[in-house]
Amino acid sequence: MNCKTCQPLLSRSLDGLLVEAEQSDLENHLEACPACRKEWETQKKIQHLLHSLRDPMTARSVLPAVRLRLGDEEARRLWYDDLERLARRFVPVAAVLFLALSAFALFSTWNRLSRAPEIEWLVAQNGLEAVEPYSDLSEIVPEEPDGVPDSSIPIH
Amino acid sequence: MLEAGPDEHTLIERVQHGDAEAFEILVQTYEPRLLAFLAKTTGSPDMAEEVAQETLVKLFFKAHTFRFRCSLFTWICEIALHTFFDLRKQRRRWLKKHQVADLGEPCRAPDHSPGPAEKAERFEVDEIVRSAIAQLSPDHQMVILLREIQGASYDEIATVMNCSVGTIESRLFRARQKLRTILTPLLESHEL
Repeated sequence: MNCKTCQPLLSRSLDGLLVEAEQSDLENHLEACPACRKEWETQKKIQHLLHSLRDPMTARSVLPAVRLRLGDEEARRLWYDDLERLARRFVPVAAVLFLALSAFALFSTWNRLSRAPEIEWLVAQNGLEAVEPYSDLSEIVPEEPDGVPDSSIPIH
Repeated sequence: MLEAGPDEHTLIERVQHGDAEAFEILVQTYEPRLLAFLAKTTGSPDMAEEVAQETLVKLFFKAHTFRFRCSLFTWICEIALHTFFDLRKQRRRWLKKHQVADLGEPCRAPDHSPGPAEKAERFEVDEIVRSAIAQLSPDHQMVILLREIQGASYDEIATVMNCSVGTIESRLFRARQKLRTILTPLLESHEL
């Protein structure tokens, strides 16, 4: 056994988990190695400190407070349960509605796109011109000579 | 592995079905041990009571998740430690936000030790040991406290922490190494 293999064994030995052969190997190493022996003593002291931590309090039951808390928690949980039940009922309906709306939107887009060449063909056949949108409002709203729009024309 | 007798087993099952009366019997059985464990761990009576209260409420609502693979008390201690870590984190955050120094809490009823000087010194040593534990990572704190204060076996710690016994062994080894590094000045100065 060397110092490196000895270290993990120290921890297990503190918990009394070494088999007889391991314990005897460890003890032989500790006899021969002052550094590991010091480490072992330090670990034993720390374990003693942990075991001798004192309980600084007088017993005071928390049961009455727990009873009160349980009542409050129960009411809160019941409210959450109601909410959850409601959500569980409405989530599938909302999902179906969402899917239906998405399908409708997809279908109408596809329909419009698939009919575009047909409309172009009709326009060409009938010698019609495609209607361009007005790019400038001045084309439809007559202006006063000084550039102010005619106020007699109601603008909705 | 369960230490509980058949009566306790039945009690736990009743609590799992929401039986408040069975829960009260369980609380009366475990409360003193839980308070003692928490008082040793936190070093503060008020914190111990707050954590115990929170733990017992959680116990009632989480009882259905208990699978009888470790002792009930070890499982309760695990819940209590998680609760304590959370509360301590919240408290530190609050103190930092309001720029208040954490002065700790005085002991409500200090231990009966021979003289005031010795009592004060033991109190100081205990506080140093607790603050050393608090410097470890939550996993390392958990294994050290469950092993050294609660006295849980490696198997039980592995069960409540959802990991292998090998992992627990390695965490304990590392936690002890870190504690040694932190506590060496104390051991030298106090000649313990």
